Amino acid sequence: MLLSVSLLVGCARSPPAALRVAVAAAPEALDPRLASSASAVRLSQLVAPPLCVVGDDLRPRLVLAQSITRIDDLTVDAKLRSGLRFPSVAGAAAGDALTAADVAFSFASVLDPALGSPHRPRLDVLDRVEVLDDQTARFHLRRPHAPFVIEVLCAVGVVSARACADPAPCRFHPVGAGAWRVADVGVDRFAFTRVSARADLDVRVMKDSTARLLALIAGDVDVVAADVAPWDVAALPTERPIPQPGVVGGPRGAGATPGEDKSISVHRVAGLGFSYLGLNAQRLTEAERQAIAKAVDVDALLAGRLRGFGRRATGLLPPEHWAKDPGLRPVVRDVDGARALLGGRRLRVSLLVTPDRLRRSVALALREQLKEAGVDVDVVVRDWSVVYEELKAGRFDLVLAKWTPVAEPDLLTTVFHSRSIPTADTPGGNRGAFVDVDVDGWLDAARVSDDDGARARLYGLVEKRVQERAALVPLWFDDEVWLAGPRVSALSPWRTGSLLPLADVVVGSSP
Amino acid sequence: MIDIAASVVALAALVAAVFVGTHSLPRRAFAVVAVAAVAAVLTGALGALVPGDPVAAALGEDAPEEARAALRHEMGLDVDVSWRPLRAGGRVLTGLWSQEHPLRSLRTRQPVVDLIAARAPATLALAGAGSGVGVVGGVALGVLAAWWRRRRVHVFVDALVALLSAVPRFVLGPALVLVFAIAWQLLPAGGVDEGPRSLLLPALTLGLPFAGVVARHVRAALHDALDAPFSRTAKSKGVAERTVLLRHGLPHAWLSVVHLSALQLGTLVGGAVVVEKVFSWPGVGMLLQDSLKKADLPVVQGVVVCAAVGIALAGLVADAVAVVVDPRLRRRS
Repeated sequence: MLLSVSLLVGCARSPPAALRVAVAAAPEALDPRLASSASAVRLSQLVAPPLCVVGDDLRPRLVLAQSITRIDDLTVDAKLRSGLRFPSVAGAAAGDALTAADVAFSFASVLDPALGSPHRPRLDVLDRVEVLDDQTARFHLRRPHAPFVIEVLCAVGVVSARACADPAPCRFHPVGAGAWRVADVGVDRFAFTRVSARADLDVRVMKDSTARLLALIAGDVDVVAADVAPWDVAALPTERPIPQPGVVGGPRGAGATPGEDKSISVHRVAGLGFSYLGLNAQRLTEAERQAIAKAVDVDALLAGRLRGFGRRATGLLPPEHWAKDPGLRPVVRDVDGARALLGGRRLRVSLLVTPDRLRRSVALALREQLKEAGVDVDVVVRDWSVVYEELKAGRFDLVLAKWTPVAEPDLLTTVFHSRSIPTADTPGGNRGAFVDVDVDGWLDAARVSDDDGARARLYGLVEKRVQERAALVPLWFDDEVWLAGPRVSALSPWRTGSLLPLADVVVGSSP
Repeated sequence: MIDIAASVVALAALVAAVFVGTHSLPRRAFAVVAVAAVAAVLTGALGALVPGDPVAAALGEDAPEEARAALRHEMGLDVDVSWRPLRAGGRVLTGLWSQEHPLRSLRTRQPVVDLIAARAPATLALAGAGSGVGVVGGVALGVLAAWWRRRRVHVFVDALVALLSAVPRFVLGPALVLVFAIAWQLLPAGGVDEGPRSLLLPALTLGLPFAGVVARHVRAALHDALDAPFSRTAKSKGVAERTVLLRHGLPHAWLSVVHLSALQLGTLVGGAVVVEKVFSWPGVGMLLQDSLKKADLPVVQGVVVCAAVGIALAGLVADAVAVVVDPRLRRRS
């Protein structure tokens, strides 16, 4: 036995040519029409990207489309880039050109209840897709809808009408015009062959954050894409300082030779995940909500619990968003003011939180902060399915939760419009049951306006009112952190966490 | 209706198993079938009673109502709450074996049996290698501890045995990775890329704590055997102590090793969940963890039923092996 162990240990290890990427969650599908989790959406875009995606400026960034033009309130034209082709896949769409008919097919199949696509509700605004010519698809809307491009056109990937007419084989082997095509689907393992990317891709699902980190340090993977905890970065054996957010590409620039630097690089960009403390307006008065908002020390939480890997939020929209009111200032912590709002009495509330390590840690810190202001908090840890039920039924006082990613400002309608209060029969994102007639009016007006300036002004009014009436307590936007091993160069993560930038990565030979 | 009938039959099988007893191998085999059926019903019933809405968790907030209704029916959650445990339990029982209406994952819509079958080889390889490390290492350590029982060196062997028995696998695994994969760069830190080399560290992590437990039992059994009258007789006749230990003592220890291995299988399955996560080993344990996290109840139920059947079968095999190993049991049966 000892001899065989020695032989096994003694074999040399040679690095493969493919780029090896560790992700935290397995996708439920690679077909973009069926992908709903963040992991599945990101992986599906590698093979079958949509007409556009959300760019770092939080505006549509064209991928398959050459242009997207709003003809009138109810009509949008999408013109495809020339030369788009599906890859040669045995028995499928061998080298077919991607045409507007494929675009029309993709959207029509999402609208078909038989497919069971999770994107169908958001396409409710879409009446039909008309094929004008091979390169142009015309989208007819049922009603004016300003967020249409980001919410609909950037959400559904385009697949081959011929190859994906039967959705079953396409679930994990979709055919699209992406930078890669699916080569092999294994257990927690997805191999992609490059079409226009610089390297083949070997995606491994590694659910444990410590395992991902150890695999990167040992040289078993080249990139850890997102889901990097702050304490993981602190534990890294890197000799260089951790970059500030906004230093896209991290410490190693595109010009460096792969393999010349043996250490691990940290790539950090300002992310779009919005963490907040939700307040139930049906159980807490406005004065109580304002007291809680004044009692929370967000800066201390950011420094202590997130180790600085986030930016303070003043509302649902990130600071640099085109629709953000730059004049909106964060609520300053004022423990005496909070006590005064409570009239000197003590308030007892429960705080609902999922078992995630960071969330629990933040919940315990919040409990201590609120205690100083006279608010006694019982932290209640429940699985997400239970938390979800409690939120829908309005059975909570406070909840620690997250919206991700925040790109289209119409998300404010989902979160604060009185129409979005969930009931037993209808879903909705206004879980705190916040009601304000003015806010409803501003949100309705912004949704149908085609003037971005007017929309920005209206959303600014909403955010200000939400802050004044303490509909929720904004906490922070998480940083997007990726880690890369010594074989990798020219890595430049996006703020949305998309895996598309992997197409530009250069892989060296150094293990 | 079929699902409810299946639940009732399963419960009846358990009652019958209790009445017929478990003294012979055929009766024990019948008990295994009953255990499998009841495990299916219980996991299905628990799934119907746990708080939270698995349908909403699986489909998301915006899912169309017809999709929710279809999934509720598929999971047996669309009947009156008093019938729900039996209906959902029977659904697990029938869905695991049905070709036409298989039990499907809520997330990927793949048949649960297919998901388990795809990952079972990895888990069986891990469990087999881990058991091998545990039995071989444990017997070797136990024999050494008994052989050196009158020497000072036995203190170190005892300390090693105690350490192996006590160390948690979530500590042992990363420690082995730090030494063998990162410091010495001899073995991969995880995954299955490098075949048997990839299996070494996970198998050691799974098997070494088991080896500690086996060693303690072997040592105790050998001590008893060495102090027994037949050993004293052998020694008085001039037989060497090593021969007494290996030829007369060790057969005594085998019986406890066989039963211990069967009893430890449950612990090994639990340990495999931890080890698979630490080493990103694509086995059934990872599937179970992921499904629990995503509230994918059909997969959780399928894995639990298969694990229950596996453990019950292992007990059956252990009994059969024990009869072969111990002539006294052969005469009794």
